[in-house]
Amino acid sequence: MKRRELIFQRIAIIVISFTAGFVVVFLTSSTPIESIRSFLTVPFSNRYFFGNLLTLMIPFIFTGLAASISFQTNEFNLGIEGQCYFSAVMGTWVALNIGGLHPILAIPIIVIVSALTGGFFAFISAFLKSKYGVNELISSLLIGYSLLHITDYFLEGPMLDTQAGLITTKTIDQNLLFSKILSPSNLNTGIFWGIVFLIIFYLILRKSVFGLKMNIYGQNTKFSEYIGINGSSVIHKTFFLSGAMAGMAGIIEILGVHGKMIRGFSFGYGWTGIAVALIAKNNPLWIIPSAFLFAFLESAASASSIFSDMTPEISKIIQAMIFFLVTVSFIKSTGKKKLETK
Amino acid sequence: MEVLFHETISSSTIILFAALGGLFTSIAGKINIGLEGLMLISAFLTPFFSQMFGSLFLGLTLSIIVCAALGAFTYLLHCRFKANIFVVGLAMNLFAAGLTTFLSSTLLNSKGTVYFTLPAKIRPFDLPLLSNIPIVGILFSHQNVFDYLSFVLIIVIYFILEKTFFGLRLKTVGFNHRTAESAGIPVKTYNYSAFILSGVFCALSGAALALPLESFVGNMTNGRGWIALVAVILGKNNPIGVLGAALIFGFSSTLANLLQINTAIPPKLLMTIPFLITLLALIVYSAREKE
Amino acid sequence: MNHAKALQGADFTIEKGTIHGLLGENAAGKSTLMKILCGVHQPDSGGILINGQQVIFHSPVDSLKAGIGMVYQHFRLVEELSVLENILLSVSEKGYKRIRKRTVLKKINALLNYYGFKIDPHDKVHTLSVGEKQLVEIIRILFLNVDVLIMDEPTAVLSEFEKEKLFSVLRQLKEQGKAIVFISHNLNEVIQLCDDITVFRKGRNSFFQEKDYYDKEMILKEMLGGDYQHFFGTEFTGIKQQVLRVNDLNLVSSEGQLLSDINFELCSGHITGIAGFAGNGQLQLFETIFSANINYNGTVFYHDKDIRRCSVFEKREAGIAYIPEDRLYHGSALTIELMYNLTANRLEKPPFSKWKMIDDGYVEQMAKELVNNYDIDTLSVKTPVGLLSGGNIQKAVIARETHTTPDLLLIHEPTRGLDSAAISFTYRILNDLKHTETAILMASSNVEELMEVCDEIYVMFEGRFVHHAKKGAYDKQIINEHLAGFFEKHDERFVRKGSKYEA
Repeated sequence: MKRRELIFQRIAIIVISFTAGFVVVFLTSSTPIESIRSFLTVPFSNRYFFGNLLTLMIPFIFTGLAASISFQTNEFNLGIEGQCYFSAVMGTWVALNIGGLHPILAIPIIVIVSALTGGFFAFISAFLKSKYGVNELISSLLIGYSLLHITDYFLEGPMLDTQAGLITTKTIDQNLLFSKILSPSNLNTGIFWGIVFLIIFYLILRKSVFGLKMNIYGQNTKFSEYIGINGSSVIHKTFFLSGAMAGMAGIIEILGVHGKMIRGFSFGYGWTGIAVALIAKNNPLWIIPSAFLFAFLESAASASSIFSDMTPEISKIIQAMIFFLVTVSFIKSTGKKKLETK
Repeated sequence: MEVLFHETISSSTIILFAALGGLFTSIAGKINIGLEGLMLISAFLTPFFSQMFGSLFLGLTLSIIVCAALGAFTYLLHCRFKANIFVVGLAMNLFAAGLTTFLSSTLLNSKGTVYFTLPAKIRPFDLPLLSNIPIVGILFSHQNVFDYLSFVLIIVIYFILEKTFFGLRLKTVGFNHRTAESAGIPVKTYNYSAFILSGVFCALSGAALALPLESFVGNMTNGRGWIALVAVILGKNNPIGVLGAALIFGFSSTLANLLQINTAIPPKLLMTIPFLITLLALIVYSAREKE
Repeated sequence: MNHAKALQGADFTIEKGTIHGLLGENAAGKSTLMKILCGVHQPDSGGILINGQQVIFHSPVDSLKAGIGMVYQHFRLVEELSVLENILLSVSEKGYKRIRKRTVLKKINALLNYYGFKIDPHDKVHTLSVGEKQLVEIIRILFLNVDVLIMDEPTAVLSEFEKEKLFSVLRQLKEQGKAIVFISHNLNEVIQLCDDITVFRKGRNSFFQEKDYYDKEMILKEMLGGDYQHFFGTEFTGIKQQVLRVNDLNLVSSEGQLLSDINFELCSGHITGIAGFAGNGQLQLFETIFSANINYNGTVFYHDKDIRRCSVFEKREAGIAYIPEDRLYHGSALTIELMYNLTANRLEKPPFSKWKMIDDGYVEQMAKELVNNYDIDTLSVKTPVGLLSGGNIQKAVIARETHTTPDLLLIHEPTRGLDSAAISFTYRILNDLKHTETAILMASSNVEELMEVCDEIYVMFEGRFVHHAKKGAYDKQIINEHLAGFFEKHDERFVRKGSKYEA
C-alpha cells in the first residue's frame, strides 16, 4: 500500500472510532458537550495531565514493540499481557532484594531479569510451535492467563506488604527509581528507555539481515525454508525478543512511577500494545504516534471522568472500535490479490 | 463422587456451548477467536434483559439475537472489508470487556459484582422417570435446564452435521471453498450462518454461566472461550469429539475447585490448572498430529 | 491478472453423439473457451446456442442446468469426503433437508454398474487412484443427466490402462447420444478417439477436419504453427567430474513409498533429465537432495561428501541451487521487494551485509545488474515481486539461482507456462551453465524438451527410475510408454506392480 493510502486509512479509523465513542457519550451523558470538550482538552490543559499522558506512552511503546516484533514473522504473541505482569513481579522481587548494590549496576540487573523472564515465557510458545506444531496464538494466551494468576499469588501471598491498604509489594529503595522529569506529573527517565529500544528495534526490524529474515519467514514460510533460513531459530529469537519487550513494559513503569508493584497496574497493556502495533503496521517508528493515540485515549477518558459524568470505560469502547477497524481496508486496492500468499 | 460428577457436567456445559459455537466456524474453515467476548456479552445481557423484562426466556432470546448479530458482524468485517479474522476476534473480546463494564457502570452504577433479581431461578432438578433408571439415571438427575439442553443439542448438531445437506455443504466450504463454489454452494451464506450460529451458542454459554449465579462480574468468563477454542481443535471438528474435550476441561476446573476447598494450596495457583491442562492437552494433540 | 485477449472470434460447434477433439498448444485458448461454456467466465462478445436457443450462463450452476458438464484437469473433488458425499454435493436440495442416502446410492450404483466401474461409493476420495477419481468426476456429471460432457486434458494424468478404460467409457457415452468435447495436446489420442477435430491457435479456431479426412501432418503443422523452440545446445568438451552421487535412495512417508531404489550420478558440464508426469516423485527427489529433511534411506554424496546433515543454508553455500516447480509460492516471496528476492540467498555475508546489517546500496546496485543481465521487466528493483508478470518472476528466480554459477543446479519444469522468447532464454542459460561446468538435473513432463536439452534421460514412474537412455539412443515411443507406466516385462528391473485394471 502506498504511504498516502496508509495515512488516509489511519485517519479514517481514528475519525470513525472517535465518532462512535462520542455518539455513545451523547446517549449516556447528561452534559454531552461538556464531556466531549473535557475529553478532548483536559489532557493538554496543564503540565500534570500532559506529563501523565506521556508517561502512559512508555509501557505502550514497549508492549507495542513486543507485538510488532511478533507480527513481523506473522505470528501472534497473545501472552504479552501475562508476560508483562509476571516479569514485573520478578523484577520487583529482585529490586527489593538486591541490597546495597550501586544503582548503575542494580537497575540494569532488574530490567534484564524482567526481560529474560518475559522472553523465556514467550520463547516457550515458539518452542512448542517449532517442536510440536502447537498453535502459538493459543499457547501464548493460555500461558499468559496462567501467569496472571501466578503473579496474583505472589502479590497476595509471599510478597504482600501487610501494612498497606492495597494489595501491593513493599516500596523499592528510592535510589533504584528513575528520576522525574516534568513534575508534578509522573513523567520520568523511563521514556528514554522506550526511545532507545524503539530505535534499536527500528534498526533490527527494518535494516538488519535478521529483520529481513523475519519478514521473509512471515510472508512465505516455504520460501524462507528454501532460501536457507532456519525457521525455528527465527521464531525462537523473535518470540524471545517479543517477550523481553513485554517484560520490560511493566518493570519500567514500576521503577518510573509506582515504586512498588500494585495488583492489576498493567491490566490491558498487552492488548493495547497489539492495537498500537497494528496501527504502526510494519514500521516501528510509527509506534510513537500510535502509542500517543492510545495514551491520549486512556488519559482523556480518566481525566474527563473527573470533570464530567462520563465513565472512563468509554476509552475501552473507542479502543475496541479502533481494533475492529484496524485491519479493514477502506480503499479498493489494485493488484492486492496477486500479492496474497497461499 | 456424585457431586464431582454434577459439578463436572455444569462446568463442561458452559465450555461445550461455546465450543459448539466455535465448531461451526471451524467446520466452515474459519477460526472465530471472539468466542470469549461473545460469551461475556451474553453473561451480562441475559440476566440484565431478564431482569428488565421480567422473563428469562425473553432475556435469553434478546441476548441470543445480539450475539448472533455480533457474530455476523465479525464475518462481515472479514469478508466484505477484508479485515484479519484474528484481529476482529481479538477486537470482539476487547469490545466485550469494555462494553460490559461500561454498561454495568452507566446502567447499574456498579463496577464490581452486579447482583440481579431474576424472575425465576435456574436450579438443578431431576427429570421424572428418566432419573430413576439405575446408573444412567445420574445423567438425568440434579442438573439444570442448560445441562439438559446441552444433551439435546449435541444430538441435534450431530444430526445436522452428519445427516443434512446443510452439514455436508458446510464441510465442503471448509475443506475447499473453490470446489464448493463450483458445486454452486453459496459460500458466503454458509460462512455467515456459521458465524451467526457461533454467536447463538456463545449466548447460550454466557447465559449458562451467569444465570445460575444470578450475578455478573467483569471478565467472569475467565478464559473459558479460549479453552472452548482448544476443545474445538482437539475434537477434530466432530461434535462428539468436542464433547469429550469439553468434559476433560470441565473436569479440570472442577478439580481446581475441589482442591481449593479440601487442600491448603493457594487458590490463585489452583486457578492455573484449567489453563495448564488445556495447554498440555493441546501439546499432546499437536505432537501426535505432527507425526 | 492478464488483460491480453485469450480468445478472439472463436467459433465452435458440437453435435449430438460425437466426440469432438480440441487440439492446441498451451495457452491457445482451449481452456478459456471451455470455461465460457461452463459459465466460469463470461464472454465480452458473442454467445452460446443450445439447440438453436441463445443461453446466458452466469455461473457453473447455470450451465449444469442447461446440460453442460465439465471434468477439469484438476479435479473438483473434496478429498476428505466419500464418493457418495461428493456426488451429493451436486444435488440441489434445501439445506435443512435430510440426506436420503439410499435412493441416491441406488442411482449411483446403477450408473457404476452400467459402465462397469469398480468403485465403492463409501470410499473416501483421497484413497482412490487418479484414474478412479476421474471416473468419479464423470459419474458425478452423468448423475445430473448432462448432454454435453467436456473433458479437459483427461489423459494427462492417466496410465495406459486407465486411458483405455476412459476411452471405452467415452465411446459408450457417445453411443448413448451424449456430445463429448475432448481437449488434449496429444495428437495420436485425438485421432484414435475423436470424430471431428478442431485445432486452436492464438485464441481462435484455425482448423477443422472430420474423421474420414484426417491428415496427421497437416494437423500437426496447424498446431505448432512454426513456433517450435529449438535448443541449439552445444557439447561440453572439458573434463567431466562427478558432482553428485545418489545411492539406493528410498523415501517412505505416511502417504506411502515415495521414492524407491534411486541410483544415479551427475557430472559437471552435463545435463541429466528426469522425464515423468507430475506426482511421480520428482518433487520428492529434489526436496531430498536440497531440503533439510533427513528421514530417508540411502546416501546422497555431493563432491564425495555425505550431505544428509547439512542445512539448506550450508548446501547453498556449497554451491547447490534449486529452481522449484512452483516459482510463485515456493521460489519467491511475493510481497518482498525484487532486490531482496534477487539476493536473498547471499544476504548473510559481506558485501551484501556488514555487522548483520544489510547494505542497501550494494544490494540495490547488484539487483540492478541482475535486472539488466537477465532482462527482467520491472519499474524498479524496489517493486514487490508479486506485481511482476509471471514470466518476469520466473526470470527473477532463475537470475537468483544461476548468477552465482552453482556447481549443481536442480531445475523442475524449466519452461512450463513460458512464451517462446522466455523458453529460448531459459535454454540459453542452461547451455551457458553447462559450459561453466555446472551439473544440471532437470525434471520435466515434456519429453521433446528433455530429448533436445539433456545428455541423458531417466524416466520416473511411481517413485522409481524405470528407464534410462543416453543422448543419441533416445526413442520417444519407449520413453512415452515408460512415462505412462506401460512397459513390457522384458526389462526385469523395471517390472511394474499389478494394476487395478488388469483384471
